[in-house]
Amino acid sequence: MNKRLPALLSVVAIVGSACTPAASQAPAASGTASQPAATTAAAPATITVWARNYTVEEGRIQPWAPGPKTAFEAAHPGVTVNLAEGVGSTDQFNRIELSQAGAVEDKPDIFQLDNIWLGQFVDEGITANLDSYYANWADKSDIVPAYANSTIVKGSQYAVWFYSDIRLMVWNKDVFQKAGLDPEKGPTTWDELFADAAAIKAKVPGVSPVEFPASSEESTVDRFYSYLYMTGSNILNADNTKAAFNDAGGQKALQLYVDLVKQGYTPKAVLGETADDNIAHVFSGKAGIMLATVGDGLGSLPDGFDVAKFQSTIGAALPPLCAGCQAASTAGGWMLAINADSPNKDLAWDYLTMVTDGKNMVPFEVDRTRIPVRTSGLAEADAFKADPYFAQEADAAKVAHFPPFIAKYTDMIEILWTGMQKAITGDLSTKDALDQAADKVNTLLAP
Amino acid sequence: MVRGAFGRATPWLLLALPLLLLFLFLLLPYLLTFFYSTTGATIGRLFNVKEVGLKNFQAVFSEDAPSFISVVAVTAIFTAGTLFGSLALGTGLALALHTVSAGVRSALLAIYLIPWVIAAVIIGYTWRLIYDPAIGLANSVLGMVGIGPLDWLTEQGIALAALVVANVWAGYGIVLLVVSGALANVPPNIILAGQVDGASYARIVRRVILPAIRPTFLLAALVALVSGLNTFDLIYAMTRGGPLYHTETMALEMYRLTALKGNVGQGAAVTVILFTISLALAVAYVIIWRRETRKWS
Repeated sequence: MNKRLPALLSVVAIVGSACTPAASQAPAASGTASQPAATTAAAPATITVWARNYTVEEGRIQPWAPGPKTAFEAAHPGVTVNLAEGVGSTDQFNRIELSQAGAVEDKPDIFQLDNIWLGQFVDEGITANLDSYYANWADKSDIVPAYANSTIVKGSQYAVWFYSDIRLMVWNKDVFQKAGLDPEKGPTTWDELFADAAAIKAKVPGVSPVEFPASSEESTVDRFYSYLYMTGSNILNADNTKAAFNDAGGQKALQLYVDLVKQGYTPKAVLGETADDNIAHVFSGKAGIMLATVGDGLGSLPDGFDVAKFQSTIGAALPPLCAGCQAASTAGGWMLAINADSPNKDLAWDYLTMVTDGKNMVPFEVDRTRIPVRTSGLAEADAFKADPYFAQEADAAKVAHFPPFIAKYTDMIEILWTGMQKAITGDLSTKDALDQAADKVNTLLAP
Repeated sequence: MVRGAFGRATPWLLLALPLLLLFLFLLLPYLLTFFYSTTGATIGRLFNVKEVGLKNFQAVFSEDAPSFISVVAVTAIFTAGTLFGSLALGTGLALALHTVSAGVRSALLAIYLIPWVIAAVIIGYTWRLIYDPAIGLANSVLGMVGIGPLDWLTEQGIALAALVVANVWAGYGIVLLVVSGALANVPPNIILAGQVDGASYARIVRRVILPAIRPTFLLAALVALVSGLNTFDLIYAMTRGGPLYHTETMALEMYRLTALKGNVGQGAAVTVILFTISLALAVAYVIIWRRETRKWS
């Protein structure tokens, strides 16, 4: 193919960005990191931050400002922090990828990333190697070890944990009361789960006893993992090269979903529902139990709910256990990384460490019901008193597992949720659906 | 001499800016899409991409989850449903409005056009709420007439029908507008002649009015057809193409491959296929329209 045409078209597309100051800055060597900077800047610079929308929401507590921003700018005269517009999860992923591709004019120095994107971003050379920064960072020992290790990819550090979230089961206390159940006690075993579901079905017409997300999107697998982990199963094998979710434990976990649907305790409509739909049903009393949700009730209360009403309406606990299973939950959350192309990595690191400082994060984590990833943050238990379920979240954190941070994670989960849907609809048996999905994942992960 | 040259150049000078904008915002994206459909571009690598020839098309055709045949079938059913539903509802309402006085007609027309001016995403989320098995209006209505609740967006057949209903509601307005305009130009004397001959209104519609507005009707049909073919936002808001890709149309396939999987090359290949189908329909329309106008001139 004649390469002139695409070259010509590409020139037109990039000519605008090539003329901008941002694009004309010489990028630092990719994948390398120099030593931390002194507390004064030599030349004027701007540290651009791409964050999620709710972390920069006006009128709510932000981890970025005013404290850290003011302190950072005072310590580095001439350097300003530019908190760019916050966006939703998908948009955040796409703008980082598009920035890497050179398709958008701006580039961040620091960006917020979902933990499940880390493998892919490292593979694509988007995130800077932070080994040399970590080597000289006194606060690294403050990070809870399980979290600190999870930012290591291929033996190197590529991100710093920002905050975490934990999966809990939730139930509607009003529905429980109407069903003649103890509203303060959710099911602790699968047997109790089925018994509670039967009571709700029998005594509270028009309410879905149990819900879980099963539509074609990420929350379907994310909310399923805790049930998978509790059986002793896992998503992938130890070296993340093959599927493990189709073993006996995985089949048992998925069979729970299938049985709930088969026995009429969960409407088939969950196949079109996301976790947001489920939780809305629980809050509105149209569903009794949601098997697993992000434990951020306080952080995203619907209209008309305050803390008191939340506590009196919603109960939360660790996901119920099957016979012979171990308590388990799933941790997710967000990290911060430095762009490999940033010309101001040292400054970016200084600001990033100020923001992620345990004490700085606590007010935001309390406001949004997120889990601290710093020992110093977890020690501030008093600050979390407003969260009625902080104790349950802390318990869940102790038994939390992470999904694998692999480069092909987003492709892999599409295969997994499709397999789950095939079992839930009855198109395939649980075993066949998971085996089929495992074959596809193995092909996907093959070198 | 100079004046003459300037005069000759004037149309081109006037056209220069629109043509430049057309090139930048229409032609260039098309060309880039065609280019990307033959490359291994991903969302993280859009420049210096590897050429892969027709491999993206092969990958799209051979994909098994979902199979391309099923995506095409879903697209065809959804588009046909949208086409016939929009034409029936839009034309029916236009004919009904044609029977009332001009003042009442204008007021009713404004009301009937409201769905057409609402963003498709809002319409999608509204209908999603209507179809919600737990709290939706649809099952409440069924309950009032003694029918049990349905899982509207879960079973493929019902979900497709539900999507078509929502899309017809969202899109009949353009048919109503176009057909109403055409009806206003039907000479009243030929309708009067039919009435004098004792023809019923239904017969007048079938034998007089519809043939008279046929070229315009074809335009409305083309708009409804292309709108059905390219619908993305409404389906995304309601089902995201699921479950099990049962409601995944080509427009959603394009989005899933490009934005969710980051496979720009394969997404572009689907876009090229969709573009080719739309172009073929537009060409067919032009040919039919020219034949029709020749017949009437």
